[in-house]
Amino acid sequence: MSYAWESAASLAAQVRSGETTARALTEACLARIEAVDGELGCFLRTDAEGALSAADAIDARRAAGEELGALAGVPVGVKDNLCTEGLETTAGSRMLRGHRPLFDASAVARLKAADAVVIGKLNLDEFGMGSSTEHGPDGPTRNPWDRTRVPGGSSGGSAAAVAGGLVPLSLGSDTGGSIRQPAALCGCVGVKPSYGLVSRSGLIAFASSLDVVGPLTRSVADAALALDVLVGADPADMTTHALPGASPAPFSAALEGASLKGKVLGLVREYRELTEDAGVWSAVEAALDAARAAGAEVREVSLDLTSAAIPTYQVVSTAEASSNLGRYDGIHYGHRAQEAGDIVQLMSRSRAEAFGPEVQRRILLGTFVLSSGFYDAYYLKAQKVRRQIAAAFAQALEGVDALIGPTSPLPAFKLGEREQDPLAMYAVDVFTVSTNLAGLPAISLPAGSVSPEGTALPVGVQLTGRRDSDPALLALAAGLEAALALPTTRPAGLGGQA
Amino acid sequence: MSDASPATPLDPEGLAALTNLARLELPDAERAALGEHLGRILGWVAELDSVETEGVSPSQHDAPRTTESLRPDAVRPSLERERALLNAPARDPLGFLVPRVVSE
Amino acid sequence: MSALDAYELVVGMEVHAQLNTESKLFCGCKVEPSAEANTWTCPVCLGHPGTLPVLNQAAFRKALTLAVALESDLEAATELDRKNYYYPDLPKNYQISQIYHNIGPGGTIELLRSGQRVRMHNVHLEEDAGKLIHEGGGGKTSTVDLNRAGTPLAEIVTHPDFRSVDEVDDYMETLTQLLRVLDISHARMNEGNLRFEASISVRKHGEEELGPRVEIKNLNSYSAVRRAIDYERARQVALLEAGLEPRQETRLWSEDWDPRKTRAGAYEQDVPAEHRAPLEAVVALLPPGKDGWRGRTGFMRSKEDTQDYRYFPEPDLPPIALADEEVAAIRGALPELPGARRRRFVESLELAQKAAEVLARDYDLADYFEAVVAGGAAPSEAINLVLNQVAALLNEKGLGAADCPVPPAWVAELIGLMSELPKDLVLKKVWPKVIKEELSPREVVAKHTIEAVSADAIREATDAAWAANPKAVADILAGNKKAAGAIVGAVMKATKGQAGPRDVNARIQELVKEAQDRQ
Repeated sequence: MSYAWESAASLAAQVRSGETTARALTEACLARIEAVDGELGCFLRTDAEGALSAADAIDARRAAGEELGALAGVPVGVKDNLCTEGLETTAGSRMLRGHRPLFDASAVARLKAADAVVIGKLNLDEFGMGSSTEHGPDGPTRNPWDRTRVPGGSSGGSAAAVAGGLVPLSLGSDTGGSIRQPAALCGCVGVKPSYGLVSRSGLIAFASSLDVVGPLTRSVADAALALDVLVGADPADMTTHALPGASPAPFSAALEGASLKGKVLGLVREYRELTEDAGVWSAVEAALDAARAAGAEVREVSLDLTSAAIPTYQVVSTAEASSNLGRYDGIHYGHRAQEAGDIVQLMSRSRAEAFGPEVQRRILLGTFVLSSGFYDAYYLKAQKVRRQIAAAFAQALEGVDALIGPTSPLPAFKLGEREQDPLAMYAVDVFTVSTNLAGLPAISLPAGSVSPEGTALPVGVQLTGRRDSDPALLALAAGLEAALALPTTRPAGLGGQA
Repeated sequence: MSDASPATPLDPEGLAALTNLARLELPDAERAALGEHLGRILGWVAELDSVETEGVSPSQHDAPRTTESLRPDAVRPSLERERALLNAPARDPLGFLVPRVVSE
Repeated sequence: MSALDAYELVVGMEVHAQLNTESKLFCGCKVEPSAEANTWTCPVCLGHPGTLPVLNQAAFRKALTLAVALESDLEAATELDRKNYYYPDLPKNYQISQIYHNIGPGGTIELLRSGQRVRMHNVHLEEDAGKLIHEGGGGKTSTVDLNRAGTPLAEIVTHPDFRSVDEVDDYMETLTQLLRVLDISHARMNEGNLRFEASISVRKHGEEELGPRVEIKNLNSYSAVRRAIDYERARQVALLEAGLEPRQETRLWSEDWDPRKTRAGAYEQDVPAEHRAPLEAVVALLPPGKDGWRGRTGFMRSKEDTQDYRYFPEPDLPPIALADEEVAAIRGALPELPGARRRRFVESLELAQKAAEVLARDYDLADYFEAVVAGGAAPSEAINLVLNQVAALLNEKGLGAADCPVPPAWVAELIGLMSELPKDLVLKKVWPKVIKEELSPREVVAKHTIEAVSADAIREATDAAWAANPKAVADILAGNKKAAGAIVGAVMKATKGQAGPRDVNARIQELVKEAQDRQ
């Protein structure tokens, strides 16, 4: 049980030094998941055989005197929309039940190459579409801090597993906030890298121009460690590019001596009104005070296209999703309807049977906005507005090192609370979608808590940086993390008090 | 049923055309709610009209690539047929099975 | 047919050419027209979840070369787009193609026979779909084979500039030759790497507006294209003559439509029974297809059923820059195009039209011809030998001009010899020995001491033969021209075949005249 709250960096160091073995860590992790995950529902499946075999191989190499990778022996969880070779990958959908990919996602391969051990696959909103990880065919994931509440989404399993001490590192994906929002609701660190820095090869696509892969951890330092492994151009993904001026471990290097002294943070004026929960805003203000105390300046900036962001996101993301999900037709892989007449019926029935209602709604909306006669008014228009949003961010970022604000307008809500009104669900993404539209990097880190009903619910603060400024952004986040100096707390009832 | 574009998703005919275009067979009971939901979203999306975008290019891509950076034309090993058909829901010895398709 | 003549035929052509790259457009699978289904695939061309396309450099460059050769109005960059539709042979249910920023917008092509300049609408890059196998399914199922899915294609579209089947034929030949000469495609229709579609309409002469356009698919040979155009034109004219308007639609060509086997109603429905006679009359004049049945076009899909492809820019692929230097380099390295080559042969080298066409079709033969000219021969003489003696030799040996056992320099030498020795001697005596003994013409002449027989010697030998063959002489004087052959034969024998028959005949004519004058 002792590994549960240790950092990835510390665990890797222990494996490299011989203090512990990859096998021991893997076994401990599997045992903890067995003991505790019944309450949380983070893991859709664990791969004990594969994980132990990988762990043994790592230990054998260490015994043979070989140097081990940066994540040596670290148990990691992978969101189930990232392909793992031979290990069932469902994207949280009935459509892909039993689907075994023929290859590892590049991000997964990089973790493995750094000697991390993939323990299992984490729950998500179907195909990444959602903000609560509630409605998948395998049931909801629960927030470790309050099991009657959602962990956020769509990377709910990834956030809860890290916040609940099951793994120190998980991989998630972020299309409109899906790493950052659950990180905020679960009280852990979640990073959305700049678009194009982490390969999407093997990520089951939702919206190709918005999707990114990123890490969730319990500290900024661990996130930096993971990003040093994940970031880099990939020949299998033509939308990737190398980090400009890269050194071997740019993130860890940037964190050395990181401080907020002399840094300028831009607080977005429009965000206050959009923050539903007053307690969340108070937590953000407290974080600003801490930042100032550490030597940072806080300036007010304006982002006047904030209200246009969600409709823009709706049009662009659903359009791309409607095309990306067109391939699921029951013919080459995936669910196939048993009773169907001709080919059109076979496809239509297979899809209707296997896609959940939210996915179906988004496919239909996306199909509509691309259709002839509406393409110009909706899709083209939205793409143009998107450029304006990116320009607005660029302007707001002038003269500041990063933008700061709440990650989510409210803390974790109750399971089922937002189910009836999809539009209410979309509204929780207000602070996160625009960064995907602009391709910018952003990180959410814990900034205290609110207690609406007595239980402490985490609040996250978000930092957003210029495109490709990821290492500098992480450094800033590390400075803020240090300035906040939050007391270590653990979710109750999951073992391992501070 | 044709694959022509839907009139609008809000009227029954348009919605039927849309579900056909998206290959999603919907039971009648769900259609009304869906039509309403889509209508609300489209109303919301209409806000975009108020944003000034004269002269703005819609292209989202980063700078164009050079041809030098493209993938060299080298053959890489393909999958064996059994592996290629591994996840196929219905197959015969040669390939993926589908109901008989006429023409084209 | 007066009805047909009253209308102008308007045709546009769309061609899909498979590019002759090693690997597919977006993955490293081999482009292999193999018989074994589903043995040349990978997760990318299978469209597996999580896969992304990676663009093939050679395919891109070949498409760009074509665009440059067709003088397209190149933009600064080109982009790929998604064309969304559901079909089992399309694994992602979208095809990565181009529509908004094609690699080769506009352009022209000079036809190889007529020199006509046809306007191109565009050239663009796209991936091919897989195939459906219908056999073995008992009529209930089909099997999807994805070997071909992802093969790189260039789609080549013209404006509707063709006004006759001959012009279309010229275009098909020119394009085929162009694709091969540029080393872009094997361009063999029977191997499936070239597919044609025709868009056909008719209108009264002098009318500006185009009639409704009918697209014809399933044209699997050059002759099928010709027959389909003839048929479709007749069908549309028959409709118009019956007071009906052809519908804008897509039709399938069927090579040998047997009315006894087709179920009722599947026949092209447009022309009502009472107006069918004129159409049948026209069809009866068309050359029959195999089995003697004529081909037909049949209804496939109406304009209203046209699919909404929901094109949008491919987010997984960045735009590709078309750098000025690269384009200039491609342009500079282009070989002479077929139309330009024919034109140069006619205009500069003053070859006859037909001869120029032959050379524009066979680049190796054209190169051979030009090498002969470079060796000092006059073009008009060189073309004669190349199209006759050399062509016969190549034909006999089953070789292409690039592998001709006789080097062009020797042909030039042979032509030079013809100003010193009688032509017949050179062609009938020297040339065969050049081939057989693999010696140059002058070496042959030296070795076999072939000499021109002097005019005196010919005269002497002819006079001697004349004197020695009184019966032949009598026949000749009686008007039997063939009888001269006996004299010529005797002279040949006497001169060991080295007398030119023309010279002998000339002397015979003199002797005949002398004899007639005496009478």
